[in-house]
Amino acid sequence: MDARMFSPFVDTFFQVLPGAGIKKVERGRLTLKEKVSAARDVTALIGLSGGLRGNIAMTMDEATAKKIASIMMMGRPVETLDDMAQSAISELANMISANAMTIVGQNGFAMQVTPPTLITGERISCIVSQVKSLNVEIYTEAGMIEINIGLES
Amino acid sequence: MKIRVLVVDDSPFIHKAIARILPEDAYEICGSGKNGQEGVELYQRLAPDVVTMDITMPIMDGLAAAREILRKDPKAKIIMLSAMGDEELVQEAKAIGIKMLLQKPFKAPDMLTALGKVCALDDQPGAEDAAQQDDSYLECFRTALKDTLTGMAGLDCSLGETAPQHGVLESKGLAVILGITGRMSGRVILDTSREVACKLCGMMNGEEYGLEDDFVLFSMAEFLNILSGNATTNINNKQRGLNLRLAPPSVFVGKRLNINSPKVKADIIRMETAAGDIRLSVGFEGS
Repeated sequence: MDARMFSPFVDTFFQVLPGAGIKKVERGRLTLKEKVSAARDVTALIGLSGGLRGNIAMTMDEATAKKIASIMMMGRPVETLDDMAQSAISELANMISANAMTIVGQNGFAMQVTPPTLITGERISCIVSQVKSLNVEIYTEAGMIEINIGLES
Repeated sequence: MKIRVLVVDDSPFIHKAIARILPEDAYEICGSGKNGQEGVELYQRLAPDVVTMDITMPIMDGLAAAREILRKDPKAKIIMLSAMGDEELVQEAKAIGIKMLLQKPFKAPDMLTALGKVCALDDQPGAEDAAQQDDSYLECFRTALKDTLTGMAGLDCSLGETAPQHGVLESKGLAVILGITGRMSGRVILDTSREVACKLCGMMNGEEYGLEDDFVLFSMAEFLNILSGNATTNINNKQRGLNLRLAPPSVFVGKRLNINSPKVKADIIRMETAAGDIRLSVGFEGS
């Protein structure tokens, strides 16, 4: 797996998050892992197939998810992660996958993406594709978003 | 050679929806009519391979138009579209010789299945199974679920009902999620309890496993992977140009696990097995 394959995906977040109105987007720790895991309260999962197979999992604590949903909904207060708030987060994930598809396409890979699936719960543990993956912490005004990008070479 | 489709519907929305659904490399919309009368005229002029026909239309309704078309060309392939799907309507359509009836709102895979099925019919008389869609993508998943369970776990199992999924899927504790891309994109989710997953895994591998064993998760992931691979291969073979491809599976376990795919319309297939119950949620982006 060429580590450079990950960079368009990482770049995507730094384009899309500020574009969606989320401020103070800064990169934290970056780790290569043997397998992807995404085990916070709220996870948005996007599948990739075609020229590149894998998954992108964006995972965050509930408080962060609420703040992000609120920003996505023009500052409307979000008390609970109801359908509306989940739609807002799903919309953000959609923007990320559309952007990633464009950037990856420019790099010569005809990748296709699935609509986002949102997973919420307590004490979640998970295994997202058994492939080499990159874990990136992204710090924002809404809190930390952990990005897991798993790609099959 | 592309399949030439005549679309007859008084709603521009449906014209647009069908144009969006049909893969350009396999289908061509050769004509569009706004009512039954235009449909009959266009059919004679254009001799399309297949017609999609709305039922309720001004000037001449779809059933009358279909009757007219079939009188002149008994081999005409017509798919009736209707928001209504009651028994009388189905009977009337059958009596006229309509081979396929699709209820609105239809999902893209259903439309492509219907087109594939109607185009594959060659000069067969009668209209048996007019309203049935046994080759639908859901049927492919049902068959694959049963076959894979039997094949991998040697399990006795029986298919329960298949019903539309309303809202969020409340997990029993373990969910495997696998994305599908292609002309239609969506996802399939296998949901069960951790206990049932352990039993299933034991039956697949001939050993006992603990609840915390990661191997159970890998086994369930592979189970869904194989099942979905079989189902989508089958669907791809039946429907030209759909080109479904799978993303790798992901497994989630947790308490109060809820799974929500806001952009997806899904159905749930239930399966009772000797190891316990399993649900398979199959959904694609709505048309």
